[in-house]
Amino acid sequence: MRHVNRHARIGRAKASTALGDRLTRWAFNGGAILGSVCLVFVALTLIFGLKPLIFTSGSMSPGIPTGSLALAVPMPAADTVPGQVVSVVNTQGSRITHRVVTAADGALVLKGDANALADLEPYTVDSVDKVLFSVPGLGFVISWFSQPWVAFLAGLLCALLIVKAFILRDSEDRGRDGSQDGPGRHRHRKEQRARQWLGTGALVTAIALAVPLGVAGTIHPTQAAFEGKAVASATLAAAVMPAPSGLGCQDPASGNKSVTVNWVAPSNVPVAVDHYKITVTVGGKTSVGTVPASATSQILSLTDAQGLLGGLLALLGNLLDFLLTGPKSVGVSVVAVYSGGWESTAISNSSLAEISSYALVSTRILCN
Amino acid sequence: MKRTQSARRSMQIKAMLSLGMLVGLGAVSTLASWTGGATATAHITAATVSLGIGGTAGGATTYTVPITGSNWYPGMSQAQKLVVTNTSTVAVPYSISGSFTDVPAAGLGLAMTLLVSDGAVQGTTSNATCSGAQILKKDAMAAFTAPVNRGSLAAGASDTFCVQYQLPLGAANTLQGATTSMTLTFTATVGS
Repeated sequence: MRHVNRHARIGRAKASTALGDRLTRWAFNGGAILGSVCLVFVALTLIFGLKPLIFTSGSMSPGIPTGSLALAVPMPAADTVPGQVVSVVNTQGSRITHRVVTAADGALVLKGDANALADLEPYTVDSVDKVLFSVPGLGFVISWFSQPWVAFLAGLLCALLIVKAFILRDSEDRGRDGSQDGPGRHRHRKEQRARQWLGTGALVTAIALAVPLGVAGTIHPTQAAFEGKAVASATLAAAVMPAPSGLGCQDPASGNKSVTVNWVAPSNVPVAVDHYKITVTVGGKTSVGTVPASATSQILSLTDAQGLLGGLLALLGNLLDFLLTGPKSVGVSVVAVYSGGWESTAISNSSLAEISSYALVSTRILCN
Repeated sequence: MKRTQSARRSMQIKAMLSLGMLVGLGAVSTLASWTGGATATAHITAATVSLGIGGTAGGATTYTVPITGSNWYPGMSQAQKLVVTNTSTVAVPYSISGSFTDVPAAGLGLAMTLLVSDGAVQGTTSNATCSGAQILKKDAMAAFTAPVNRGSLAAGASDTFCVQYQLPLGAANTLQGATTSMTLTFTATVGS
């Protein structure tokens, strides 16, 4: 039988047939290898609960570039430590795989290696998928295979292989059909039919198994939420309003009933002086007046009852009685008040001038 | 006879194994449902997400707004143009948020007002303001309003804003000499 067969095969050895045989062998071997790899992969993911992740963005680059395939294993969120790369599903339903920055009180703060800042949303999850390892580029390959026409071709190939292996009668079948009669032929027919039924059954079973298995072993695309940031900043300093300077006192050319207080306007002002505020203090009483910005002096007169000093003295009662205990100092302080309302610090002199009694009947003011 | 049978058996086993491809493809093809019908290949992009900020369109990620930084007094107002550029390879939505850091605390920045508008700078020097519709605002003695989400900005496109800093009249006299750092952050997020 074997001998005859070999001769028959040699007889058929035409070039086209040999090529066809070789193609058939390639198809069977290739299909078997690819199929086995897929089966092993899906089996591993199911047995160990591994989750394959495809990185669809590159915020974990350069460590895990776009198109990487990673395998992740579930673990409780409470067990995470900073530095681990974990995968979570955010409130929008997107899967994010980033590095743990802090893990406190059940809220994970994650940050992509390529991102300048941590994800806006802290993730409150019970369980995370810890990335075990990743292979750059493999995600691209796998996602390429997910295209419909690839699936169609693979399905077609599988169907052809099944048909060839189980259903088609080969040359030997035909040969035996022709050369054998009686019970042998009949038995062979039975075998053939059984084989065809087996093939059909196998095909249906395989497809019935393949679809749910495939769904269970789903590869999860993971995004690494990408963030870009730009910052416009301005540092501002509030002005320190400069104070007037050179507070002085000048006696009049004649008489001794008034003095002139003068000062020098502040320099390097950020904004114009609006007015000056002058405070006069005698015997614990104070009186405040304003001087327009255009002036840098103020007359303090004993005789002008409406004036700054005169008004103040009215508060003190009889001036001669007040002066019985001796001369009294006149304190003056001047503040520059600026447009916008801010005031400078005060320039002051607690005894710029002195009021005293004069021959027991009169009073006078003199600069110190 | 034996040989043909074993060859047949081997073919049958290989054919069954090849069905594993369908299992694997089933695992992968469910990807499509994750990505809204688009093929996963199209979904994978080696995108980079980045924004640039400046007085003109550009790629710098930090920008010091060229306003007068010193000698601020009540009533002073300064405004400058800000241009945000999407330097990403994809269109991105972005948000604008503001913050300030005061020295001493709760000082100058708290007292300031800041306005981001879609208009232009009006006026000059210490009295410049922004025209246009308000986008982000910080009132005196208040924090910044919540981050404002802007729509998607196409790759390479830019948005122009006007930012106005003002120390309002009535700001406390005690703020003299205080400093603040006021920051506007433009954040583009893709993928979450």
